[in-house]
Amino acid sequence: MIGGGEGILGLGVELLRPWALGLAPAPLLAAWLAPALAPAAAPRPPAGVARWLGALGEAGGRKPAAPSGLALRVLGWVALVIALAGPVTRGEALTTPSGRDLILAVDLSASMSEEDMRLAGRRATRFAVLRDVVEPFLAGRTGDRVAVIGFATEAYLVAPPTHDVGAAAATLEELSIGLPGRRTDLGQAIGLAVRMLEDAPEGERLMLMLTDGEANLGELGAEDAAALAAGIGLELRMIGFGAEIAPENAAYMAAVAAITGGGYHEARDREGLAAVAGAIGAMAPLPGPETRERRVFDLSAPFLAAALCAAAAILWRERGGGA
Amino acid sequence: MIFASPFWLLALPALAGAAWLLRRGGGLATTLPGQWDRLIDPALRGPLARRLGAAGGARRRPALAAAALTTLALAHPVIGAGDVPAHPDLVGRVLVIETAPGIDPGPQRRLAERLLGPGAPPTALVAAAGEGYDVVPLTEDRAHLGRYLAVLSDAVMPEHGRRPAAGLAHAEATLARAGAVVAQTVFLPAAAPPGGAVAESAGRSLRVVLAHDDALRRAWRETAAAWGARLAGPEDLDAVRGDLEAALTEEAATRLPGGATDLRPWLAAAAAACWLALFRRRAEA
Repeated sequence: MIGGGEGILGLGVELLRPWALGLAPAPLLAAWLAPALAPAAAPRPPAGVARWLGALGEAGGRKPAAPSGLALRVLGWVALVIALAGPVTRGEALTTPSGRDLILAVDLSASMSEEDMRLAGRRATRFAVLRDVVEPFLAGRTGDRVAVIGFATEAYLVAPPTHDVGAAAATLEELSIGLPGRRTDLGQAIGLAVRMLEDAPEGERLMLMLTDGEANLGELGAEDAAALAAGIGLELRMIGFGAEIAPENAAYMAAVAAITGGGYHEARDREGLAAVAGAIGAMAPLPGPETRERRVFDLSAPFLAAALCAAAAILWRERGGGA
Repeated sequence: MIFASPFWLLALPALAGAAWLLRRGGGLATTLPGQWDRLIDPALRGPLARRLGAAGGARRRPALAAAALTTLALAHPVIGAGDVPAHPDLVGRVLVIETAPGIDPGPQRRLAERLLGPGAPPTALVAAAGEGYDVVPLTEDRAHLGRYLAVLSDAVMPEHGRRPAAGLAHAEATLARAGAVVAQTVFLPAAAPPGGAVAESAGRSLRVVLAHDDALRRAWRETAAAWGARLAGPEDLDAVRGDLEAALTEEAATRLPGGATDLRPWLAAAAAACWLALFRRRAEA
C-alpha cells in the first residue's frame, strides 16, 4: 500500500494495489508484440480507383487511427489502471472487542458519603473521589463490554452490559448515595453480576467491586456468591476504599476475592485509587490501536465510469467500422 | 453474491442491444468513409457501408467486452457479504419513546417490544418529553430494556412537555457517542405532532417514525418527510428491520476490511485485458 498517513498529495488517498500502476506502459507492448489487425476494417480502393479518388482530393478510406481515437483509448486505459490500483480513503477506526465483560460494582451505602477524602485540595466524600477516578477509567475501556451495578442494602443494574463505555461511565453521575438502602450487602451485588452473566457469551469476566468494606448485611453471604461467581469464571477484584479500612474488613474482602481467583486492593486516597485503577488496567489490557481496523471507502468508481464512457465513445466512433 | 451498486446493471441491456445492432447490421453506419459516396450509387451506399462495418469488428469486440466488464465492476459484486465482522460499534438502534401528558404509552411500548425480539441489534432507549433523556445505553440485554420500557411514562419525566425533535437529536447524539457506524433511530410518537415538531435535526442514522395507528401515521406524514424518515406502522416492522439489515450488509460488503470478497478488482483486471486489444496495430493493406 502506498499513500499511508496523509495519503497521496495529502488527500488521504491510498492505493491498495500500487503495483497495478506498473501496467501503465502495457499498451506499448500490446502494439508492439500483439499480431496486427487485418486491414479489412480500413478498406482501401484498388490502385486505379485510388488514383482517381486522389485526383478528387481524397486518398480513400479513413485513416487507420485518428488521434482522437488514440486519445480515447489512452484515457480509458489510464482510468482502468488507476481503478485497478485500488484508490481508497480510510474512515474512522472501528472498535476491536476485547472479549471481556467488565462489571463495576459501586458501593452506595451511607458510609460512602463520609467526607474523609480530599479532591482538588478540598474535603470530599469517598463517593465523589471514587467517581472522579473511576469515570475516566471506565470511559477508557473501549473494547470491553461494561456494566455498572449500584449496591447497598439492595443491588441494582445501573448500566446493562454495553460497549458504549462513555454511556456506562456517564451513569456514575446519576448515582446517589443511599438510593438502594443505607447498609452494605456485598453478596447481593456479586449475585446480580452472576445472574447477568450466566447466559452471556463465554469470555473473560472481571468484576471490580468498590467498597469501603463495611459489609454489615447479607442474605446471600459474600462467600457463597463468590463461589457462584467462580463457577461462571467471574474474577472478583475487591477494592477497599477509605481513609481507614479495618484490618478485619480488608481480610474479609481478600478472602472473598480469593474464592474467585481474584485479589484485594486497597486505596486510602485519590492517588491510591488512581494507582489501583492503573494496576487493574495493566492486568486487563485492551486491544492496542494497531489492532483497530478502519473503514475503507473505494474511490475506483469514477475511474471505472470514465473507462466506460471511453469505451462507449470508441464504440460510437467504430459504429461504421472505421478506426 | 450481492451487487453493492446494482443500478449500474441497467447499462448491460443497452450494451447488449448495441452489440446486437453492431453484429446484425455490421455497424450502425449508413454512410461510406471518405468520399466513396461520390463514387457509389446511392442505392448501394447503405448496404455497402454496413458490410464494410461488419468487417470492422476487430476493435468493437474488445471495446464491447471491456464496457460490459467495466459495467459489472461498477455494479460492485461481492461474495460473502453476509459475514459481518465483529465490531461492537458497528450497528445500533435507538428507540425514542415519546411521552405526553395524559397519554397511555402502552401502544408504543408494545410496538417497541416487537423490535426487541431475538436477533435485534444493540438497542438503546431514549425518552422524549420536554427534552431528550438517556434511559438505557446501547445493549443487547433485552430484559433490561424491557424493564425500563415498562416503566416509561410522562409521570417519570424530569421535564414535561413535547419536543420530539429534541428526542430525535438526543438519539442521534447517543449513536454518535457510541460510534455506531450503521445506525437507526426509531421514533414512536405519543400523539399528533405538536407545533414546531418539524424542526430539522442533523444526524446520519436511518430514521423511522413508527406510529401505532393509522390516524397517527397520517398526522406524522409531513414531519417524517421533513426528518427524512420512513413513516411506518405496526405492519411495517419487517421493513424497518430490513432497512438496517440492508445498510449493514452494504457496509460489510463495501467498507469493512474482511467483510467480503470484492470482485471489482478482478473485473477491472479483465476489462483492462480486453482494453489492451484496442492498442493492436493495423496491418498495412
